[in-house]
Amino acid sequence: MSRIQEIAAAVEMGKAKVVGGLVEEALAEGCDPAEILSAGMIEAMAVVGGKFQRNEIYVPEMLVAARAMKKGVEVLKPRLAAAGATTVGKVVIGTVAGDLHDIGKNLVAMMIESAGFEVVDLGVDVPAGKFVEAADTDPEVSIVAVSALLTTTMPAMKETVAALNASANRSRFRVLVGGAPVTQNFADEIGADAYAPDAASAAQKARALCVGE
Amino acid sequence: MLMNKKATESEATTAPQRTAVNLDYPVTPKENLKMVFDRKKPLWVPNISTERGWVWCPHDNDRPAFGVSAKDWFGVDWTFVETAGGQMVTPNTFIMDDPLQWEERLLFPRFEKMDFTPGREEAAAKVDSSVMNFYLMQDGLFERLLSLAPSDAVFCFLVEEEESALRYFKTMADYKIALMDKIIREWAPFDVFINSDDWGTQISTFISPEMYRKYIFPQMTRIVDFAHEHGKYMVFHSCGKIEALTPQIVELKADGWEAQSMNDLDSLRRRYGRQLPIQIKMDTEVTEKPGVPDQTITDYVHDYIDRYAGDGGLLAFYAARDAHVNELIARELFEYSMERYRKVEG
Repeated sequence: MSRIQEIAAAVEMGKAKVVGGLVEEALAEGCDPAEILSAGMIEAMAVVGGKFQRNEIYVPEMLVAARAMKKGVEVLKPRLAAAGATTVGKVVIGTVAGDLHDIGKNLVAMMIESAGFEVVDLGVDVPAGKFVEAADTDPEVSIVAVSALLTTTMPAMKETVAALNASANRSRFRVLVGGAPVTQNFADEIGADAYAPDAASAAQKARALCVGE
Repeated sequence: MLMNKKATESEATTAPQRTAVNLDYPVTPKENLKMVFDRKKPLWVPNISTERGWVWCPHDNDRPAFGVSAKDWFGVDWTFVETAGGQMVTPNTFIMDDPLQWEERLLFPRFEKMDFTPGREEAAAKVDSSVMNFYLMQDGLFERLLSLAPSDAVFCFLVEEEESALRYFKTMADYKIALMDKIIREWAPFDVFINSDDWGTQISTFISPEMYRKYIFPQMTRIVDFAHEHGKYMVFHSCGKIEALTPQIVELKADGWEAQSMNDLDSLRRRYGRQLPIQIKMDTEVTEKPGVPDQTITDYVHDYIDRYAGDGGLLAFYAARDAHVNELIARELFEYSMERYRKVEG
């Protein structure tokens, strides 16, 4: 098993305590930092996401894997920066106004981050204007991810997407929506670019929107 | 931004009123519902919306009273969210960063120093003995853990700190049982505990069925057994798709499950019949639709009964803003299901 495969296995199994050390060893052996990130970690998290979608693993196992990856990224970050490597894109995420639910949103943020994105988390109960401001003022934002858990806050999601669609910089970013009551039909109806039914799909959709995978 | 309603003291401590409908009951709704909980065929499908009473104890601060934004006994700060019709932990106020700290940080209420009896007689006088009266326990073992620390830390704790997690669930169940005992001994009489604990998301259980079996169900067995030993029925409320857990819920001898629509309810009703009474909510797109014609309601209620009633084990529930619709549903449910169960043997 190569060092990069070892890293991938450790990420998949959520071994946060060993991933950092394995990444250091891989770097010392001359592995390319970008290769460690993509083959050792992002691909491993895609495997984890697939298992989650098939109900082979559940939220805790997915979270410990994401946390293990984070440990590896901490070690890699300075080397990636020195090599001029950038993230796949920047994602602004939040739960809409009137909705305090954050478990699903946090899970999506973690999976999107694990797919190679930088994530700006606006938190919960976020007014439409705050989403727009975050997307408008930062030209690096490529996706705005909007979450709602309640049927009663779906109108707030509609309002948020409408506000984002009215932004002068709308062509610069894509809008991804999700949450328990949200469906593909609703996403289409309110003018979102994409819908994801779960955290793993959200990471896949984000990559598809940004890099066409 | 959120508009958080602060309930007045009287709103907060008064149990919700049921909207009773006068029907020509051959036995009391309480006797009829008892048949379902005893796994017998009832005379009609019990109507949980109109044939259930509530008992609430104002001294119980396991969770602040419904409609109130306040701290509970553990110091968890709850915000009532009107749009959600419930309370959530106020964002960024968790009492711990890591649930592993629970053994040092969590202070349990000392029931031996508390008196739940003030107001008991007045509350007891309001209890309607013709219906089953329910006592809601809002924070189940799992939900309570999620109220103490951020969810990602909680989920990692469950994977990585097995011994501490096992001790947490055992200790929290001890506390729950002590609270149940206190309420039974010192507050107004009631018949049914509801254990409210959300175990699922829209698409699956939060944690694996194996993890529920390891951490939660051994303690739930103790809680259900305690209720039964004290003459109370135990109904589970859980949001989410948790059908994978139903074999374990049956093993626990739960007397009912308030199920959500993302579960395969047709198959669950066929599989469990009277063995696991299931509460199924009628479609709000029908029951709450403004101006819905009477015939639509009648047809819908008949379909609902034909689909789910079986030979017992169905608990009907619905929401209707319109008083006429409420009465129409109650009457159709009663009369049509009486007729149906008359023809069913057993």
